[in-house]
Formats: sequence, structure tokens, C-alpha cells
Amino acid sequence: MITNIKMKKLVMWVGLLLIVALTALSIVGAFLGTERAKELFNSPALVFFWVAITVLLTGGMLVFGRLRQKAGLLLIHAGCVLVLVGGMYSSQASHQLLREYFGSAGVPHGYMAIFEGQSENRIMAIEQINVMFRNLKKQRRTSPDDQPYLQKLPFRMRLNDFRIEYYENRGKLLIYAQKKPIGQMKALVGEEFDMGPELPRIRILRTFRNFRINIKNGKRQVSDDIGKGENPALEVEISRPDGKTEKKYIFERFPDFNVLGDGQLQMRYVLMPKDYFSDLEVEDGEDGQAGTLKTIEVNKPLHYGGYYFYQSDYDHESGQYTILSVRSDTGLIVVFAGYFLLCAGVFWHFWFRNIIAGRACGPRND
Amino acid sequence: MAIKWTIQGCLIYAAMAAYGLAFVSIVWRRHKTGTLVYQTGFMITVVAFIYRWVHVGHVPMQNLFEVFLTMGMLIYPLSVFSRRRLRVGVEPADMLIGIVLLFPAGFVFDAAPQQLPPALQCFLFAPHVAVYVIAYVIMAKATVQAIYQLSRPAGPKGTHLVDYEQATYRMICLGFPLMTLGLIFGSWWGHLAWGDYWGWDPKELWSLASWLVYLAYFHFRYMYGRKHARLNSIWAIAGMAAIMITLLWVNLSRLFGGLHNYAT
Repeated sequence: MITNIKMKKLVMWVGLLLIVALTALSIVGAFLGTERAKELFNSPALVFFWVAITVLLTGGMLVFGRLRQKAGLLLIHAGCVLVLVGGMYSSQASHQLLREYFGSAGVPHGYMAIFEGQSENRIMAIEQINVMFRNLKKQRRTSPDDQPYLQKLPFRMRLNDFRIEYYENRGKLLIYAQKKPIGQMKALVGEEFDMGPELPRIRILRTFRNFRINIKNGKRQVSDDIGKGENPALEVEISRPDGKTEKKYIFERFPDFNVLGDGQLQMRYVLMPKDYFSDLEVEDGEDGQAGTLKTIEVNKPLHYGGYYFYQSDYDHESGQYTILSVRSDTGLIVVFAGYFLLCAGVFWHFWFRNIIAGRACGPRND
Repeated sequence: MAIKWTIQGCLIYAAMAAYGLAFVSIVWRRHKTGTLVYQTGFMITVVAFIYRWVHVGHVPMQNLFEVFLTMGMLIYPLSVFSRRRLRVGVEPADMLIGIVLLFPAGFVFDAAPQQLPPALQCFLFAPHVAVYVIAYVIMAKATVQAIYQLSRPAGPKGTHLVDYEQATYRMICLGFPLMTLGLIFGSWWGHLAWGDYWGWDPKELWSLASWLVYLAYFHFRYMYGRKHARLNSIWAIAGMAAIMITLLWVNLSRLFGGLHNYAT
């Protein structure tokens, strides 16, 4: 018969081995890369591993009276159990099981592409989004309504506006000769770049936040439209070695347009984005009536109807649509409750109880 | 490797020189001079840190240059705190740690100021990086204590100081909660920025591995106490090795592509 002491030693050894095994798996996962690591840690074999750790932590709290008596240690171990349970609950496999047996859970993760002025309720895989835009570009007859999707939400998300904010005076004009970078200059009015006697000299004449072109009386007129929209551009003067000069417009969003002459010289206007904004409106209810209004940006998602909506990508050419990353909030509260307990536990155990007792940090062997 | 002929660079070199001079003074038993020069070195790093902050317009913890500069500044307050509150000594080694931490900032990493990309404009940016930076400096000091334990098991000469094994333990007890907080802040930030509180990114996995090594250290030490003091020290050194990989290799090597690439 196993004595209590032997049992405790066994539990400690198994615990230590599981910690070492998880360390080794983390290192292997890091070498595999994000996607393969995700597959590894969500594989059926690893489910047993996660369950084993959770059971051992719970068992440890029952076997070791010390873990129950010391508030810090109890919080640390209970916190770890919650993080593991929450992690398993929020996983892809858990969502699948909940859908199959209870028909309750939606997809754990997907994307939503919404054009300005339109609303959408379909969550798609990123591959499905890519196919949809490829089809739209090729003008195929496939209607966006016919596109396959992962799930439909019970409410619609409307995009009122998408915009990008750039750092001021931080733009650059990159210059390439035969596709090789030969130099760069600050995108400021009056800046010049001289490439030597055999190549043209470049000078920036004007910067545009929202470049527009109008034809009036048969004449072309360019302007910086202060209204809605973004089309950053530069007006540059190119002075050729033979004395000829010409004006060119370099667009941040259309790098293919910026080829000069016979294609030997290319320019790219690069701006440093400060933030991306999507003005969203939730259309909930039977009549699709307007509901919550929220501007989402990087680090500021929208939480609605059991999902988080994140700014993920956008229309790089004309800024007419946004792509939102959509994540289910299933299990999230459990994970964060675990984080809170874990954090409270480590600080109490290693810092605060010693400060209160007037001892140095961790003077005992615990 | 390049010398930085800038005000920023000169401040870093001056701080390194002060730390070096302080080390020499202490070795030559000029304790008062050594302490004074060590304090001067610290003041120079504070000036360098503030200068950088003003220059870039945000908390200087965005890239490896700024992180190492910050760590070089933290070593002196840690030395003082460790001796007074934890009775952990070996200040000359701390001075050398200061030089080692400032060296990459002075000679290796690019100091060109960078704007914060959208993902880094978050209220968690400064706390997440700051707690990790402080934790890493503490763990570096813990590692020195562990190395001393392996090479000089007799312990320090000063009677008011604890022995090296106990010193390693105390330093790890001080740093471990900060590493935990850093991991949780990172996860919270991941949830806000990418929609994933855990993304299995190489940097995340190496951070977890570092945390787990110290967790294993605590469990091993709980099981055997100080019976296997050398093994306790080896756990502590292994933790530092994992931290160095997390901080340097993951950011600098193309082997580990991931969401934290901008940290280079």
C-alpha cells in the first residue's frame, strides 16, 4: 500500500515531469512556427496532456493540505486550473463538440469583409475571403451572396467608414533602378534627390492626403480633396540629363503606376500608418434597425453578441472595404479569471505576505 | 558592430566606463570611490534613458537598443535593493552585468528612432515590456548568484549576507511574479490587438518555456530543499539561458518568424 508520503512524492515527481515536458513541447513548438505549433498543441494527443495537467493540479490541491492552507499557493494552482479549463473550453475542438452535441456554439474564429455603406453577417475563413475578392476582381458572375461561409451571425455589421491615420511628415519616397533600391528621400515639399550626371534629378513639388483629378473644359486639374477618403500622393518633378523636365504623380496605394520612362526607374511612396479605423454599426433586431455604433481600431475591438470584432485588414488600393477578425468569447472569462487568481497568488506568495511579515523575499523553502 | 558618435552613444559609453571604473575600484578595495562611481554611472544611464524618451517621443522600450539601455539603468537600484532588503551581495558582478547590458546598446543594436506601429499603441505596451525588463535584470543577478554557488560553495565573506544558494532563491522569488505578470499582460494585449490571448507564436512559446523553467526550479527546490544545491543553481542558470533565447535569438534569428518580428 502506498503511504501518504510516498503518494505526495509521486504527485510532485509527476508534476515536475509534466512541467519539464511542457517546457520541451514549448521549445519544439517555437521551432515549428506558429501554425504548426497551433496544430500540435490542439492535437488529440495533446488533449490528454492538458487533461493530465488539470487533473494533477486539482488532485494536488486535494492531496497536499499545504496547498489549501497557503492562500498564495491555492490561488496559483487554482488559477492554473482555470486557465487550462478556459483554454480547452475556448479551443476549436470544444467548439466542434458543442456544435455537434448541443448545437449552441458558433465558429471560434473567422473573418468578415464589409464594404463601405454595406452590411454583412457572414463569417468566412480567410481563404474564402481571398476567393471572393479574386472573383470580384476578375468580374466573374459569382455574386458575393453565393460565396461559401463558415457561419451567419444573428445580427448584421454595417461599415459606415474606413480610414487610415498616418504619421505626419514621416513619409518616404523610395527610388529603384531596375528593381534594385538606389536611394530614398523624405516625402516633404522641396526635398531633392540627385543620382548623378547620367540619371534624372527628382524634386518633390506637392503632397496630397486625398488626391483627386477633375477634367474641366478639357483640362486636367488635380486637387487635394479635404472631404472623405484617402488617396495619399506626391507630385514630383523629374529633370532628365538631356534638360527635359516632367511632372509625375506617385501614389501610395497604387505602386504599379509609379514607373518612369522605359521602366528603368521606379518610385514608391511609403507612409507610416498610425492607426486604422472602421466605423461600425450593429444592425440587430427584426427590421435590421440601427443599434450600437462603435469605431474599432487596432487594440480597441468591439464586443457584441458573444463575439469580438477586431480590425484585421483593409482594401490596400482604394480603402473601400475593411476586413474584421471575428472571435468567439466562449471560455474567455474563465481564462482571465484564471490569470487574475494566478497573478494574485504569485504576488501574495512571493512578495506581499513577506512584506507584511517583515521578512525578506521568500525566506522559507516554499 | 559600430561606434555611435552621438550624444546618446556617448552617454552609454560614459556609463559603461563608470561601471567599469567602479568595478576596478571595488576590486582594489576603494569601496567609497567604487560606490560613488557606480552611482555616477547610474545617473548617466538615467540621463541617457530620459534623453532617448524625449528624442523618440514614447517610452523607450520598443526595440532591443532601448530595452538594453533600460536594463543597463536598472542594475544599480537592483544592487542597492538586493543588499539592503534581501541581504544579497556581489555588487562588483552587478557592475559587470551593467557593462554587459549596455554593450549591445552601445555597439550592436541600431539606435535609429522608430515610430510606434499601430499594434504597439496600447496602454499595455509600457507595463508589459517594463515588467519583463525588470524581471530579466533580476534573473540575471540570480544567475550570477547561482554561478557563484557552483564555483564558491563556501558562501560570501560578509556575515550579514545570505549564502549564494539562498541568494539565488531570493532573487528568483523577486523576479518570478514579474515574469508571471509580463506573461499575463502579453496575453491580455494579444487578446486586444490580435484577438488571441494565446497565439502559439515563437516568442510566446519561449516566454512560456522560461517561466516554466523557474516553475520547475520552485518545485524541485520544494521537493529537495537545499540538499541538491548545485542542481538548484543549474535550474536557475537554465532559466537565464531560456530568457536569453527569448530576448535575443527569437528576435534576431529568421528561424523564428512570428508576430513579434518588429521587436528587432
